[in-house]
Amino acid sequence: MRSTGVPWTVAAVSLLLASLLVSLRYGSVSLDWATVIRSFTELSGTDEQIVRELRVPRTLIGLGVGASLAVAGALMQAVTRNPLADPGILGVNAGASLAIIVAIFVLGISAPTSYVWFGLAGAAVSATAVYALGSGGRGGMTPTKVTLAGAVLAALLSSFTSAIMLLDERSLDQFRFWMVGSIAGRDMAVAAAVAPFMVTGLVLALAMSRSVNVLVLGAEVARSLGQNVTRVRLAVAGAVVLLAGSAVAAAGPIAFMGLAVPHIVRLIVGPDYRKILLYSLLGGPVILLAADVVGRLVIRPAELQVGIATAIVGAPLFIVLARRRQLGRV
Amino acid sequence: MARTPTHHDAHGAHDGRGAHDGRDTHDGHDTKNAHGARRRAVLRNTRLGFSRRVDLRVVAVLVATIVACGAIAAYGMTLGDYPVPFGDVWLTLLGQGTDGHEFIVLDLRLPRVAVAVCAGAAMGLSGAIFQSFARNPLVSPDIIGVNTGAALVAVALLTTYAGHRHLLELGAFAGAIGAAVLVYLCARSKGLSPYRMVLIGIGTDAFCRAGISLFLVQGESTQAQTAVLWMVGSLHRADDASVRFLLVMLAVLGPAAMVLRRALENVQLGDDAARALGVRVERTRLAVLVVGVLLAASAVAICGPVAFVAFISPHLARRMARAPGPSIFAVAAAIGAFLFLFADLIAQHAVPVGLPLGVITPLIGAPYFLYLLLRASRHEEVT
Repeated sequence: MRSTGVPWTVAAVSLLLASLLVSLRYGSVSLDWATVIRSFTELSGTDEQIVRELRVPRTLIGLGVGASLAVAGALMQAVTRNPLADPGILGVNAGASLAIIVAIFVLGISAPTSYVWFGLAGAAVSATAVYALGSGGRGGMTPTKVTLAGAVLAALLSSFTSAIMLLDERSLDQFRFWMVGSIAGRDMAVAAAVAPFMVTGLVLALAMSRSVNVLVLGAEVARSLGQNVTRVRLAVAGAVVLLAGSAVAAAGPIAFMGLAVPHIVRLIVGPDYRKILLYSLLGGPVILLAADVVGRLVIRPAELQVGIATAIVGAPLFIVLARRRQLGRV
Repeated sequence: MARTPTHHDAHGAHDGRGAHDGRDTHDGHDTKNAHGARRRAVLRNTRLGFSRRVDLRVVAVLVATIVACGAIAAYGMTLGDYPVPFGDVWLTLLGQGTDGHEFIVLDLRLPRVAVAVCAGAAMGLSGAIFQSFARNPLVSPDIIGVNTGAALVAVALLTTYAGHRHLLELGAFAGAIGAAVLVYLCARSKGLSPYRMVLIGIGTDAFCRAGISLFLVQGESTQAQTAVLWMVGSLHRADDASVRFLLVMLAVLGPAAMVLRRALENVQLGDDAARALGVRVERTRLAVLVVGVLLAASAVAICGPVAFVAFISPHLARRMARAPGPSIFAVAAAIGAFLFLFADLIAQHAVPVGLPLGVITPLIGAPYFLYLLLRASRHEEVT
């Protein structure tokens, strides 16, 4: 194992900064660097307003969502020891989707900004239910039971979601734009609403990275090394719910990120979860923002939603990586 | 759950069945293991060189499920805007009904029931095949790209050209096969690792999903609703042609899956052990994959990607029959058919508003599965 990763860290941080700046500059209206810089000092001017009121919130949300999904995905893969696990398996996306379409259908809510709290609530309720179901019964909580309970509950919740979509065309019409996953059209209020959850989740995740390394060896080994397995699993679960729940509330279900980023990172840095979590945190936003910028530019003046763009950019990359090297087992 | 060696099998024979001039033997024993009683029997015909050990619990679950399927199918055919008494349904099926009953039962209701049975069986079987193949309980044809490949083509057809509806089944079938072939070709290098194949399948799946979202967002909301209806999965496109198609596919692929069972069991021991036992690992994998993909693709082409049936049928089968992996293929197929029939019965007659079958299947399967999950003990293997 490599002893230090200073060059890698520097490279990842500079990539992250670069993607933040690029996300501020490019879009349906392309600006120059001078305007981007001026927009933080001068309050007048249309271009400056575009940067300040549209692109800054969008970039910040992209940063948070990318980091949260990637870290949550890495944690899920570690704690379930299943390479196919992603945050969606906890039922987070399905719960948020159902809560939001119920809000649209029953309360007639239509602005993405007001979806946030419904999304958070739905995600939290369904993740709690998944954990309760996965740890109930004889034998207590095992990763397999949690994973299965999550997959089953997600299917159950999405059948209610599709029932509403089929019964009410107006709900479908609004919901389909959220369902795709997008970071456009959110204002600072959305970013402010989810930021505390995301930061708490990320700090918790990084603090847990050492314990996660032990847990990956298996519950028996971890226990024999003196770890309180139940407590670690609960902490990890809490972090995942905070991260994935706030990400889906802010941006909708961006399916692919949580699964793919940890795999890509693992290919580069090896199996040490201290590194995997750190580089997922740095790499997630890079991939999300890059995909978002590509989505803004390819069919200008229209936009490709980031949920579509991440998959169209990320899936071939993921397939090529899976083909060329033996992907590390979790 | 380990298979207990049944050393009793070799002796203690008594005449069980009268066929083949008494040369069939039928041994029944109780053997115990840590998790409770397992009853096994051996069916043997020395003249034909046929000898097969049968797990009686598997057989019992299989028979019970088939009987339940028959009962539900018969009951379903009596219900509708024009109720037909059960006796008349029976007479009509035997070809002695009135013209009116013949039209209602044979032309309207029978195709739907037949499609439900065939498509459900195909999905259950293909789910069992995929889960055994990848040795991962989360795998089902849904995440190998088969369903989304079909859905991508179908949604594209439904949201762009209204005139090409008759190509829907063909297009969906081609999409499913196309996605699977893509996954296979990408995953193949120096042998086929199921692990890598599943990862590539997920990549393909994500890519197709992105395409589906694109079409859903671009289209008008009425078209989007038609597309969502297709993606949820329903039986309302069932007709005689689709029954024939599914019957042919099942008649070919079902026995093929049964033949492949033993080789697949050996492959599950690990590549090296399987080779040492004389199994051609790569060839077995390819054959298993072809059978599983074709089964899923034919069901999806007719009914749409009905969620959950392919995923949950093998789980239910394993838990109800208390047997691992490939030994429950037939049970998984029967449970798939049962889920389809029961869900369609509810969708058509128990819900006040018109809902497609795919909305109902999770409502039936999920609570039962969660109940089983809560009851399961820690040492019980889920795979």
